[in-house]
Amino acid sequence: MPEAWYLSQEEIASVAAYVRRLGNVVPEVLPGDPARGKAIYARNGCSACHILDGEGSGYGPELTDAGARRGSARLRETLQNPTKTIPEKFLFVEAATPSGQTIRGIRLNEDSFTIQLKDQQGRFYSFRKSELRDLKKLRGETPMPPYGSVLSPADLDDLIHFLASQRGKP
Amino acid sequence: MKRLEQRLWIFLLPLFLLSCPATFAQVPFERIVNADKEPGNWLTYSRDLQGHRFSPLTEINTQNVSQIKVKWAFQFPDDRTEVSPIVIDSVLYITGPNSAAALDGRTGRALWTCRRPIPSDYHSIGFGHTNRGPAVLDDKLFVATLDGHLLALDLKSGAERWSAEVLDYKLGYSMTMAPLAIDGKVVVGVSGGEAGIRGFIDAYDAKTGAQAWRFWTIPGPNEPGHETWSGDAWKTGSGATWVTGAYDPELKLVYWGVGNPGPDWNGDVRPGDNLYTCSFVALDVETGKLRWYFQFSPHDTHDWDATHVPMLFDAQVGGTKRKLIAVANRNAFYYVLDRGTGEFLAGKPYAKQTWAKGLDTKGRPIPAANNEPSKEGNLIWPNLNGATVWFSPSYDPQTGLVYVSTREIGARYFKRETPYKVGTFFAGGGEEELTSDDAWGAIKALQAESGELRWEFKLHSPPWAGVLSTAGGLVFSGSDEGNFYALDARTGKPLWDFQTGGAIGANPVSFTIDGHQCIAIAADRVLYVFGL
Repeated sequence: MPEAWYLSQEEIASVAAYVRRLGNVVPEVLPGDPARGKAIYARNGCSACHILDGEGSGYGPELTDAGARRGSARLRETLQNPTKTIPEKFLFVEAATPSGQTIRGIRLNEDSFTIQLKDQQGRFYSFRKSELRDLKKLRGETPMPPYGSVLSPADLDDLIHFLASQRGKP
Repeated sequence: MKRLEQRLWIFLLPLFLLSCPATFAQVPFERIVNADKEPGNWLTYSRDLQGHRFSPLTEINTQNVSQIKVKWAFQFPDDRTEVSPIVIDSVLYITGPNSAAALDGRTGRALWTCRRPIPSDYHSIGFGHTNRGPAVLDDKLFVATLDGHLLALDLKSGAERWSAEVLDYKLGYSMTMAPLAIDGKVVVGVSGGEAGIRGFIDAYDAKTGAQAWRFWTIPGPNEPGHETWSGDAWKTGSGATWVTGAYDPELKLVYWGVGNPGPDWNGDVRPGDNLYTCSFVALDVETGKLRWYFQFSPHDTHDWDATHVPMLFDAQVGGTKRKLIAVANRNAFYYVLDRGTGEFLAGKPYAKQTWAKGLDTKGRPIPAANNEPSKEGNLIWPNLNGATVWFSPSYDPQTGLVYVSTREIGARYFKRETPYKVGTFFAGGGEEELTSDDAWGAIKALQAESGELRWEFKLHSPPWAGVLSTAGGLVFSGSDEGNFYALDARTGKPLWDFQTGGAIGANPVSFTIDGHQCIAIAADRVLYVFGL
């Protein structure tokens, strides 16, 4: 992390207050049933991409503390239209290898000469960019499907309530 | 018997020297002036006094650079080192914040180390704890410290020979640059451009440490240039001088870059051009008197210091061979001046910029609309770190090209009220830079006498590393993601790269150990030395 030497004392205090607030979303009174939401989470295969309480696959962001990091409005927006809230550092890319294979995955790291990816099965790939036939940065795309049209409004409320109740490990 | 002894010595002496490469040697000024006669050494910050950062060595070249490997590494106690080593007869001299060391060129093992405590009440204002390298002259190594001392250390042991107090750090001053050792003098500049200092350039007698002269970068009352300030604004006008300059031994002129005016982003309290901020100054080496100046960014409000290594070279301009000085400036324009007079000869943008419509016939910028920081924030290119910063460019006399490590990034600039308080941050605003996906970097090869782009090699992000060019037809530099790499100097084609594991924010150097060429670069807290 670079030193924020350009901030005044007042600005530093403001940033600190903001950062403290980020990790401490105030619990909300929400509609829906979190127990039903848990079942909806399981039924829709969310664990194929997310880890929650140690269970699932670490392709997308971990959700163990989703409710502490995100308010219900942000959770709803993400579920309804995930392309609007793609997390920073989660860039979806498509790499065409010299052998003609096409790999789609999340960019884990990139520099001027190489790129490292992870696909949905959790496989890691490392490529020299000069050797790829093509490399597309799929900005605005995400492997997460929109659930606004998949879930009923009541199911969505249940799922949001369940996610909002995930406050991290004690 | 005596003849036999002599013969034995003649026979044995070269063997002795070969087996002990870490011999210590005196470095009179003539060796530095004639740097090209000993390409295996690196005797001053830019290798030569002309600021070229060019190595005449050819053993590592376009044909074999892909085979170079790490020979050794040295770990610094401090992170993000920015050092550019000095190399004398197989010994590397390095610095850190308030520290120095001599390293064996074969192994990287320390021959001596020296550390001066940083006072507990010292604070860096506007930069990190760092040091960019030492200087050498005769039997001494010169090191500038954060708390404002110029140290003369014994080359053989690191013991202090003398110490000169250059500044009072409690006023916001500091020192991070490598001194410039010239004929009998050591020239230093100061940091503190975000602390409301009044900048200066000092020269000290290399033998005694006595001050030889001081040039104030902000002229005082009754001095030429003072009229470009209003009221008492000159007292806190900044004009720091935190990057090593260059020297022309024939013209006997010292060339040095001057930093931003203070407060950085709020110019309301300092109407006028604010001389000699954001300028190159040419100073008489004997007296420190100003011979000429050229201001790149009059009344700057973006923190675009002109603290760059000046590049001195001769080239044809308009059919006449001219003595030139050139710089790729933080404000995104490349300039070529006559180094005897400061006359503007050529200038053009080398990176994206939105603050000026262009330069007039005298080289003064023609302002564009909405180019000032504001309360709401104005999006302007380049960002406050500029299109390039303190790290070195390289001039390659074989190709006639200048290689510039270039940052392509904009920022939203803000203006704030900032009352001056001694020894604290005095900036008057700040910036919100564009996200990493909207920023990139490049090594750009410019025709030295015109600034015409010849090629560019794109980088994943804006870099913080300087450039080395070599007679082997190579350009070396580093990336913020840790890549150290070599390009073909004529085409920009990448030929080799190595992942160092740490962000590179330093300048590469080249030298020989046991007669074989090496390339060195610092990456975060590790100094790597490469060779075939």
